[in-house]
Amino acid sequence: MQNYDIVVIGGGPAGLAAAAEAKRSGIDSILILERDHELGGILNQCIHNGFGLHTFKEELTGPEYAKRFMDQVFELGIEYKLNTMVIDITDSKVVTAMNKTDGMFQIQAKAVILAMGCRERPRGALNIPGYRPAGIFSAGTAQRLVNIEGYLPGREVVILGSGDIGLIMARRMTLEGAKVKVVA
Amino acid sequence: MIYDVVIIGAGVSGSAIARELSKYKLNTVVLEKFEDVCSGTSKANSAIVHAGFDAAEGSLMAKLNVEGNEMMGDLAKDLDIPFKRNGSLVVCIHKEELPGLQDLYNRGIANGVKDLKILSKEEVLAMEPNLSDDVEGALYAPTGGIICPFMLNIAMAENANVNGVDFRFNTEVEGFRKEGDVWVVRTNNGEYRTRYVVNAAGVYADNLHNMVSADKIHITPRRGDYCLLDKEMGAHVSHTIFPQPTKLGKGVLVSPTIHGNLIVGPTAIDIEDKEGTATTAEGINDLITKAGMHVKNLPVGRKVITSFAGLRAHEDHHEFIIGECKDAPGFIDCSGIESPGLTSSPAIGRMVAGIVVDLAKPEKKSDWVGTRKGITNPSTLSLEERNALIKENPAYGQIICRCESISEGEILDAIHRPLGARSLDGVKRRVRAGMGRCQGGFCSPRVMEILHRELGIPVEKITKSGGESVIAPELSKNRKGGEE
Repeated sequence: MQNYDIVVIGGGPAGLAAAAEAKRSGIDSILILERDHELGGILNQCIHNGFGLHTFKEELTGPEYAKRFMDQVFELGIEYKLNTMVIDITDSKVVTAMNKTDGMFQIQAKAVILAMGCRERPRGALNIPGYRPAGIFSAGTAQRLVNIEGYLPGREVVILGSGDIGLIMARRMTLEGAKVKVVA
Repeated sequence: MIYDVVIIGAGVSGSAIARELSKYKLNTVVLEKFEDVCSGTSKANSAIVHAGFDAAEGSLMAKLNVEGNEMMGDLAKDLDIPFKRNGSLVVCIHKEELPGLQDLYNRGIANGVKDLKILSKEEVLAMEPNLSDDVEGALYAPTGGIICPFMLNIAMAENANVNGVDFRFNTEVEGFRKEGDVWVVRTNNGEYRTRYVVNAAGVYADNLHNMVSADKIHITPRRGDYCLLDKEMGAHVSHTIFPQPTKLGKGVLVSPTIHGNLIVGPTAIDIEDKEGTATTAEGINDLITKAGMHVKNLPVGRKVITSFAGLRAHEDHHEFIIGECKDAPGFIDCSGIESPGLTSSPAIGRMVAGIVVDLAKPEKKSDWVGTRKGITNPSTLSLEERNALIKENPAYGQIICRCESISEGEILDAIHRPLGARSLDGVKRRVRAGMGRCQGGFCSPRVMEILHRELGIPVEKITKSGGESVIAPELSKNRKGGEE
């Protein structure tokens, strides 16, 4: 079993920033585990601007903002593994993870930082009644399809929720060629 | 060519019949109007293997329920599908209902249900501490079980296919005519000539029957709404908890599923629309109220991950109609298959195949293979076994669905095995990718990419469940611009 002082689960800005700060504070043995094929987390799909005003006093897009933290991790030489999914953490801080090349492996950590972000609650979790057709997306799924994969999740769109996320999606869908009929 | 048998419907009944007929030297084809097996009633039900105490004494329903229940253990082993006899409890919360429990017990004994027992309040609460404090007693049926309804259906179809039965999807029957002794089945995809027709069309079985027979039957789609709860709630009860049955059915049950969720449902709402699988707020509220009468501390509202509705094919006399049509020789009905249809399916398959075999008198095959290797489930393996698997096929090291921890290897198996998945729902029903807490929010773009890569279907044409159900109908404007 490998040993690390700190295992950071999640390579988004939170995990990257935590790893960088730990390194600067004198911890050398750090490993970041990221399930996606690149670091940056959810910000990679948040291509709108407005990030970084507090931290960097600049207005950045999500990927630009994430890159600032990625660069810190690269410069500090912090180890990370991509395409790696954590399956289990025990009470004694043994982290079980897997990927295609290492298979399933275990790491004894002295400390574990949980920076996995969150999961969207889907339509089903809100118990909205009706049929279950194709074409009902959470904002994050629609955003990934359009911003990362490059597909339009519909030509005519109704958005439920008119907070910042709803409006950001309304703008993005319009810019990408869809007709947004209602933001409710 | 002239087929020996055309089976209409690739639900659990049609697939069970196909598997039984695949033991014989018969040219059999299954016609399915949807894009996959298990796309109608078979995919949206309680997923319970009923013990058999509920069906009326002496009915065909009772007979096939008890037979199907008895067959299920061996069948699940042969087909390598998950099945567990977790036991059923019919719970009584009013003293005046206790004689009703005794009636059920007596009916169960008459139906041939084994090991039934009436439990006192103390006995049942010791087994299920989360039952209502009002519980007065219960009927315990240890032979009741839980199963994966998708895999039961899919595995029987796969096994039939491996043994030579053809399946034609997106093929909807439009009518019949007779040319001498030959049935001509007219579909949207051409005509099929056959000596025998088996009508296993679920909620549409009355339409098909009534095309060929003067002795009309009538099926009402009886909608059942369900809520599926997060796996955190999967151990809230360990048995399947029923209220006392009414004339509309077995009532709202609360049960663990074979995959570790908790299921609550169904309602029983008679409707007209044979595709009317929309849930309603009233239906969902009704079942939450009813479930709460027998099981306490049920946080349905906070812990639900999805709700859905299925349609039972309720025939007016609440009985399975199985047999050759008197005024349409060679046309065999398998209709009115509502609950306990899933449980009965192995016995239904055997019975209907028996009718066809009596008529067609085919030879038995000597090379029939009745077993099937299921899709490898890495979560059941040890760390060493799992590493060996990943070494042999690295795709098992790449997790695609994080809620259910489903690897790319499992999804590839789902796509490439006989009658493999071609849509998101097809993948979901075979390996559960998208069936967890986030309901595919995270993994669906990745599963689309795999379907695209493996089957050569353009991403814009990949569907949720066939037909018009495309997920991402065109490229985004930026991407279009970039490629011009």
